[in-house]
Amino acid sequence: MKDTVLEVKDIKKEFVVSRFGRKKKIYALNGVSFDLKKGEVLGIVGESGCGKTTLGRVISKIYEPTSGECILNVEGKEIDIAKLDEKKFRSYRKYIQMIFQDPFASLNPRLTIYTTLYDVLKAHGIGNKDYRNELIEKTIKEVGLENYHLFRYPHEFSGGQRQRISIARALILNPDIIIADEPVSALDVSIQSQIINLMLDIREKFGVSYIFISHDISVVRYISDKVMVMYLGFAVEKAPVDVLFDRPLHPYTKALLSAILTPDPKKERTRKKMILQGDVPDPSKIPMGCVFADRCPIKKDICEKVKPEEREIEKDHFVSCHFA
Amino acid sequence: MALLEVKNLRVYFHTREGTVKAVDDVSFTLEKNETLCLVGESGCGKSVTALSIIGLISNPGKIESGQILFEGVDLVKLKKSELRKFRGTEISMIFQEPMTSLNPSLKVGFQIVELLLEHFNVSKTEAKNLAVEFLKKVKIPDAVGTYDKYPHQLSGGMRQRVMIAMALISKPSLLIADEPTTALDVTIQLQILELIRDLKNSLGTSVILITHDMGVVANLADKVAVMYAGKIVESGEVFEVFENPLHPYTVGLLGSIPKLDTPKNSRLISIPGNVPRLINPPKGCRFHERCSRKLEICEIAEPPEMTIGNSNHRIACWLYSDEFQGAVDTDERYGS
Repeated sequence: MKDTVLEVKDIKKEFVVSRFGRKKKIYALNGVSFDLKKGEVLGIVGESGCGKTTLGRVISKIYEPTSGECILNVEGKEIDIAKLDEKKFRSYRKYIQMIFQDPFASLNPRLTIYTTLYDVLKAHGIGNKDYRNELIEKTIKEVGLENYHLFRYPHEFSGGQRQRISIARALILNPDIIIADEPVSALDVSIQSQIINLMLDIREKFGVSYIFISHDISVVRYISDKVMVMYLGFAVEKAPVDVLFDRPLHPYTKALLSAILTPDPKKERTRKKMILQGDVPDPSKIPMGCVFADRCPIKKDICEKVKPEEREIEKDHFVSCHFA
Repeated sequence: MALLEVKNLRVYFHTREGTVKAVDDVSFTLEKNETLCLVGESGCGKSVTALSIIGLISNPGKIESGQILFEGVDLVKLKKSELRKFRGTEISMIFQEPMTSLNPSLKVGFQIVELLLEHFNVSKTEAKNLAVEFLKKVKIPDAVGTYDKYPHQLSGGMRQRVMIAMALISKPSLLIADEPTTALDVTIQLQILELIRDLKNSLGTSVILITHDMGVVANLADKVAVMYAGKIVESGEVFEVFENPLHPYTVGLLGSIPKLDTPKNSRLISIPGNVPRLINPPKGCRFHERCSRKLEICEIAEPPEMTIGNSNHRIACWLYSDEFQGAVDTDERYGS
């Protein structure tokens, strides 16, 4: 399709960890597929250990995938970046940029903001000195900061301002895709909404697509066009955002939505809640059947033996459950 | 008599850079079997307030003035040894990160038993039985097995259950929970909140819950106190405060959370600027630099605390002071 910027097909990632000399495989991603259109926001939700961060890092090539395809569609060309080596990928890195959770750890404390941004342009060989300076001044205004901020160091900024700088660092390369991994989780609520509003403004202005990874489902609902729910390295449900919230099909999605606390005491205390038992299983032992079987309230025998296939229930609404 | 009465509490931290007024003139009361939520952003003083109740403020922090009356006894005046009689028996606390508050090198069962042997006159067998009983009470599936496990063998949710068992085993009158669900996943958060509610009701414990999450407040609180920069800016019954928030900070805080019915493509309400540093807090109302409805007086004088209507909805904001009522009307007319 023409307006698809990224198509991920059956991506898998295994880590080998060694503990007291014993090697053990962790199955972080077990075949995840999705596509992302121009200007679209894909929200990825799930609890800790579900593979959402690994997925973001595989797409931005911080990790090499074990198998699968990751087709980037830029400048009228289709490239499978999963197969490129580090050196060849470098020229495509400007199309996929990343924002991290911790704005304290993701900026170099010894560089001024100007140097941080200048180095990005230099590394990608963009423009000459004058052009770079012009671009830096333009970008810093775009994220709501001023020129005088450029010659300060990261420690002089608050968390929200640092996250603005992270956004500027991603935006300055004019990327097609920005992967935001829990970009507001470390921020206070009053600052969170500033950053979310900024990200939406940037999408409107530049048509950039986001992959927005978060455990906060109300934020994901607010910012996303479509949502993918992950559990133990599998995408258990995918749907346009309104469909997912109106008609969730997978029992895990239902439980996840039920766990959102409404900031309204009357509604919060009267709504029906679905409380899940147990915890997320160990990712080194992927069950033979459905991954959610041991916590599922509607489990039947088949769930423990046969892995459910992904089915399209209605247009663009995919679910992996025998009984959805 | 109220179970707990905090009066004009001031806690300052004397650092090299200057004095941080972390808690500055905070007062509230807590009745028996009531849940009070202290809510606010990082650095607002909510945790310091809780730590002063249980006597855990250490250098360079100091309780400068004020009273903390627990069943009539002023905890501020007690010696360390006298405070020990309350801590862990009458008043218990659970923390945000259960991994760092459990001893990693001791089995969880031993850690619970140790507490019982320290505070109560029980035999080892009695203590063990009681520990297992409480592990069952906090709905740990395999209570006997868990008794012999080390903290690292448990998941985050299970560790927090162990912490809750430990805090409640002495049947305290007051439980202080500092962000008990913040480090947990959402489905586990719901389990823990339900558990705290059940146990509170069955044991008759009062709870002070500290959180930054308005959703948690809505789920659990009877009363809520909103803190900003070391002060309580608004407090009252939870239904009243959520339905009729008055302080511009509370309004902004509630508006900045995306709700399930927030229309798409609208923008969230955001509060401009940042939380002020408490070494040199703004003059007058501490919120005035970020406030959208600021009056001239707000920059000069601290707002008085007043009660709205005949409920116990209290607020510290010039907008609701009688003297400046006229100013509000004009302000609103221009605003709309």
